[in-house]
Amino acid sequence: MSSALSATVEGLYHEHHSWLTGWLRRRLGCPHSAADLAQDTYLRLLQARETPQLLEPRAFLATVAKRVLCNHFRRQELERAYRKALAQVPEQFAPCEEQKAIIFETLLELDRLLDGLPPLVKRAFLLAQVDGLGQSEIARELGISLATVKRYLSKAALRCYFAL
Amino acid sequence: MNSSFGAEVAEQAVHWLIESQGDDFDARQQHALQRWLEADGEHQRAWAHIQQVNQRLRGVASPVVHATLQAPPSPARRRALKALLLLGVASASGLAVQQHSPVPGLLADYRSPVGQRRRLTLDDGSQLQLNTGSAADVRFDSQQRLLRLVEGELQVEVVNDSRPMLLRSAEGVLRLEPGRFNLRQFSGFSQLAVYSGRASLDGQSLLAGQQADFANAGWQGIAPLQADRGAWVDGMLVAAQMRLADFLDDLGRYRHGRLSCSEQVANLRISGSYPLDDSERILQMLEVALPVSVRRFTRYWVTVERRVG
Repeated sequence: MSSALSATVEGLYHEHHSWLTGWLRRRLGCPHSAADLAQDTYLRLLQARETPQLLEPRAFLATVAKRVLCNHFRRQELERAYRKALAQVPEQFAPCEEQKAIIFETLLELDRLLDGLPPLVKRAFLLAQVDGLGQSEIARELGISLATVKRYLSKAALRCYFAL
Repeated sequence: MNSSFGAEVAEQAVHWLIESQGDDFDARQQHALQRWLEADGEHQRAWAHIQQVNQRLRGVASPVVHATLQAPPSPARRRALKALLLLGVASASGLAVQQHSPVPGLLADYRSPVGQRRRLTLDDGSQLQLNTGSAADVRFDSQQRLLRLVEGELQVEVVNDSRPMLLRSAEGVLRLEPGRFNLRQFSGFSQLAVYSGRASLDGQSLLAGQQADFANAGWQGIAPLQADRGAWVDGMLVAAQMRLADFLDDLGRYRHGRLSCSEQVANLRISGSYPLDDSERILQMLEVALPVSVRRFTRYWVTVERRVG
């Protein structure tokens, strides 16, 4: 991290921290989460590769905060879906609390990595790497050609394994 | 957690992954993949990385994955996403791994993937067979014949030769007289069965008709040979009053993913000879032979439970 970057972020923090927390609180309706997400927003800035040119610092902060907020909502959404899915698993096979947390982290990462891919591409990938279906089975299941299956799988794999 | 691979290597690795999972992946392509792996340490790391991520993915029950990830995003989120600008702050993290463990079996001289067996004739005429998910190195020179079991299980029929035959596992080196031997690598110990001939470990012999474990202090638990255990070379899984849980453990070696049973049926006993080439059929037969039902959450996650009603 460059010192210019950390100086910029420090400046943003001092001048706009309470404004940002307020901004987040209005959207969340919860002071605790707002404080957490404000921290997350600054952390995210610190991980940036370049120092942003700041003409409109608050607009910039809001843009980053929206992304953080969006991840937060997605996390909640996934957590709900995850809990619902777990409820379907017979009790004797249910993972213990620790496993549940690990699995959830895996799901979150997977979701983030596959985010933005078309639903069919995602589905093809999950069928292949999670369910272990063969490529021709996937082609049948999704009603697409084998060549398309391979293209979809490659696309999702580059994302999932290499974040490309 | 950066997956620090060049884009070109990443693309090649993905290409090989998709090819190797294709229905028409053959021995020729297998060799090409092997050559690619050996060409560069970076290739091996990228490949190991993919395997590790896959292992993690397979540890998650698929219904949960589908239900969780396929859940359609709420309209509110969609709108929010559209309104957002993507910033260049997202680091390439993801399911990357912290450390790259070596790929034991992948770079061995010979290997047999999960669910397959392989038979080879060595230079001296000895016959080597590799069981499911197994790998071995063969190093013959003018002084000795050295076989190394890297992982899994092998059976070797040793012929006479002026050079001694040495067989190495993670726990020690055996000297084999001509005969037939079965060696299996467990985690933390090895197990040798002697069908004919004789094996010695640090000067102590194990004779035809015996089997024993060894870790680092000579033979342990020398016992009469359980001949059934070697039936895999004929493509059979033979059980004689075997606990169902043990049977499934054994069968699980021939399949990807997780195969287990509930406690209520773990102690049921099963006998019979089962053809290994079709483990799905064995599972179907279980339902006929025992009061159990086989529940498939996915191909990688199968459990055997007590049949209801």
